[in-house]
Amino acid sequence: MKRFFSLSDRRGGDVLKSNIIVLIFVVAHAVVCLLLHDTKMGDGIILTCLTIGMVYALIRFYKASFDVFLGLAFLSCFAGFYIGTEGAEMLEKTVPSWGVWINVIVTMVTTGILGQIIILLIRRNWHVRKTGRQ
Amino acid sequence: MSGRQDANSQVSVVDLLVIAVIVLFSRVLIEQVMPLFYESFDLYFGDFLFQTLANFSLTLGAVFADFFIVRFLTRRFPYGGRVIVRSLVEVAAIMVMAFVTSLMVRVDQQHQQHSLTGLFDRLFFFTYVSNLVFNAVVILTIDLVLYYRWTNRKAVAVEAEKRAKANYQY
Repeated sequence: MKRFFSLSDRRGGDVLKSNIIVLIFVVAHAVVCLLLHDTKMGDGIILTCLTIGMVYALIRFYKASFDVFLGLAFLSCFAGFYIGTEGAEMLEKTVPSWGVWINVIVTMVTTGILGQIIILLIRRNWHVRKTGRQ
Repeated sequence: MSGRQDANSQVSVVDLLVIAVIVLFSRVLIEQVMPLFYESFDLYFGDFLFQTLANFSLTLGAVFADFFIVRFLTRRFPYGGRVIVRSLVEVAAIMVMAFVTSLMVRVDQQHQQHSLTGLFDRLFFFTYVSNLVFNAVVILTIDLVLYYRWTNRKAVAVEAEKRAKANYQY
């Protein structure tokens, strides 16, 4: 398992693996939202923990520096909170009969988008300027 | 490159847990405080944020100050060092900047009402919370941008070193 979730030389393989990590967290977010959204405790704290966990897992997978952990975790949690809340309100106006599934769908979509943005940000050397070839 | 950064960066599980708890705490704080915004003043979180953003000179000044704080941080606490120390100083800087910005917003409001009594009231607390989010977003975004510039420069330096070595051997 540990070997599977480690970087290889193949770029496509790494992207696939990182997407599997995101997919695992998307499913975890959906399950937590489905089970806890209508409870007294609510799903906010667990969803935040899962988002922080996803940021940690992706940083570890791409062997990026943890200097960006605070920034990525904070911005992901707040972007997730805002997009999730606003998205759920918008969808509720369109299909009010869907109930808790509205929150599940919006949580899944939001987590997926955030995962892709984090992958884009911490993917190895994506931002490095290519110098002229010799 | 990334492997070297990771080796240089000193980070433990406790450090990461502290950072995670800070993020979790701030998220819970915002979630708990947001309904109180409306209950107390019939205003939403965005309305309080708009108080700061509507004052263009203050917003611009805050963004410039945030930029210089991050520049100072990157010089004093370079990337690849103690992550926890850097992160805690960054959180402290965000809190101080939010306090200064809120103070200026409230002083401006009190000045318009021709009274300077009750500066640190409930309204100040809500203004502080909204400015906390504003300054956190600005400071952390600038920090991410500077981090990527740093990794870019480092990667180019490593490549140049490799090329110089290859040329020398040739």
